[in-house]
Amino acid sequence: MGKIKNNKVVKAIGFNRIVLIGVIILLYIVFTILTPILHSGVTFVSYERIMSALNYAYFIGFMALGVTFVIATGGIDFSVGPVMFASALISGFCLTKYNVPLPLCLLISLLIGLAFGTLNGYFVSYRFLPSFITSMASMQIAKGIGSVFTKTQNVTWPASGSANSWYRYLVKWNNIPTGFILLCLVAVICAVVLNKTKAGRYMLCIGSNKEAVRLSGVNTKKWEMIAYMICGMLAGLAAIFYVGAYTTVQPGLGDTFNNEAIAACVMGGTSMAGGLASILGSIIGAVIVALMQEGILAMGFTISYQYVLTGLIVLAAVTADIMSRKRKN
Amino acid sequence: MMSEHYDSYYQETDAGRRKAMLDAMEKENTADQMHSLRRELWTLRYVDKKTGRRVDLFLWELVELLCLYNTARLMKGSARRDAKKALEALGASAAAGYGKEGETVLYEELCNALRLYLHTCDSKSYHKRLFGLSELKEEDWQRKVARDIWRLSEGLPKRLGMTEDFAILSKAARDTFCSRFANGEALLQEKEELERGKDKKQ
Repeated sequence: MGKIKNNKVVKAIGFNRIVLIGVIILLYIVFTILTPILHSGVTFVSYERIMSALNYAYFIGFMALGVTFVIATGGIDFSVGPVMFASALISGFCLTKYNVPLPLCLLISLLIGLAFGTLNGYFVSYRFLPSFITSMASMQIAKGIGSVFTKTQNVTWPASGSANSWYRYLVKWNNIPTGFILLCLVAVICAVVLNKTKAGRYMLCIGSNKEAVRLSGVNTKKWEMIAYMICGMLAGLAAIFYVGAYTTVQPGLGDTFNNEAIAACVMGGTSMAGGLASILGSIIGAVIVALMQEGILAMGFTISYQYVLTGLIVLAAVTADIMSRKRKN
Repeated sequence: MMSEHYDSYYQETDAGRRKAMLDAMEKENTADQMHSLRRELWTLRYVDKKTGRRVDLFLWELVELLCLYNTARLMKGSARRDAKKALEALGASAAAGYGKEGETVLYEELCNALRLYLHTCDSKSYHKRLFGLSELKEEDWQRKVARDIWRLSEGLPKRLGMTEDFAILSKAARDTFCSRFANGEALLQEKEELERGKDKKQ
């Protein structure tokens, strides 16, 4: 084990991330073996299955990237899922009912996410409300606004082939998973921001010792708020990829995706105490969550089983993080 | 009388009061060669060159070095460069021209900054864990502070192969921690053994 850990490649990527990549491979093998046994006539190994898992990974990945910024500052955002749904519903409603041009609708989606991020950030950093309470409240607001705006009606974005359907190319174009390329691109930008810029350093240091950062002259309120704003905007971006993959959005939903995004982050190595974050880890975590969802459905189980599994993953990830921190201290 | 002044100068953590003390000390003893270094360190620490605002850049560098510990494993080259910059910002090159006496002055200044750092560890935000949902127990909090001090004094210098460059900061960190916590040595020893155990496993 020591030799593996000290290997240059392993060190460069990080041992934990290698383990997570191993988990992806293992899950893929397990689902490949179990799917035909549990669900006769169905196979797991197919291009469609990979694309379906990736469709799920995109929006979970964008949300996980956003949540990574917030967790890095020592906070939490439980509203990302409903905010994503509210963004998709309102912008979709503008597109289908009011014939607002598509590029403007996509911008509206981002702005709605940003507005919720700003709201969360303001109350957490300037009004000193616990992030847990604030984000729970904005989760309810997002669910409510989405329902009120659409009068509790489903919103269906234009399907492929119809006018205004080019937004779907963001997810898939000529069988090329463009969504994955864009997710990686945004992840690289996030990694650079978090690890190579003053802003990222401020956010990580706020998570490590907020009072010391404040006393050193940094405007901690501003940078903490910016972390929430980034998170909100990425939830708005996740909404675009959600509708790009599934087209139909239901009001009043979205809260189940919070846990998946947070689980992806924590699994990926972002510390729940703040001060330590891994963008690559969050992406790998999102792929694991998506693969599990796809695997469960392929094996013939209902989506409820996935909720159980997600809950178990969150428990396992949180326990592992607490134990590893205890060991480190 | 003079040493009392120095003592209170290094005990005080408020930048304004320290400036006044520094002025008074200079008036009282014009022969002290170290005054210019103290003033240089004061400016280096409290004046933001870009904005001219009063800040505490030493405190910032300490936090940044602690964050650097996490990234240093993966990007050693850039981490080493960042650490060198941080040490320079902490007055290493300013003190280098003053010989042994300069090192002592820098050590005292770093102890002062570290005392302030330990004071910030008493804050509510430092006690938080689990997304801020719960708080650390007293013994876990002490271990967390010990972890930070260990990282500054042992962990980071060893990880970057810069033990000599960190010598003054390491000593200042250990001494300040041990003077604040009665069981400081034991806590650092415990952390050291934990890390040694990990190395053996590897």
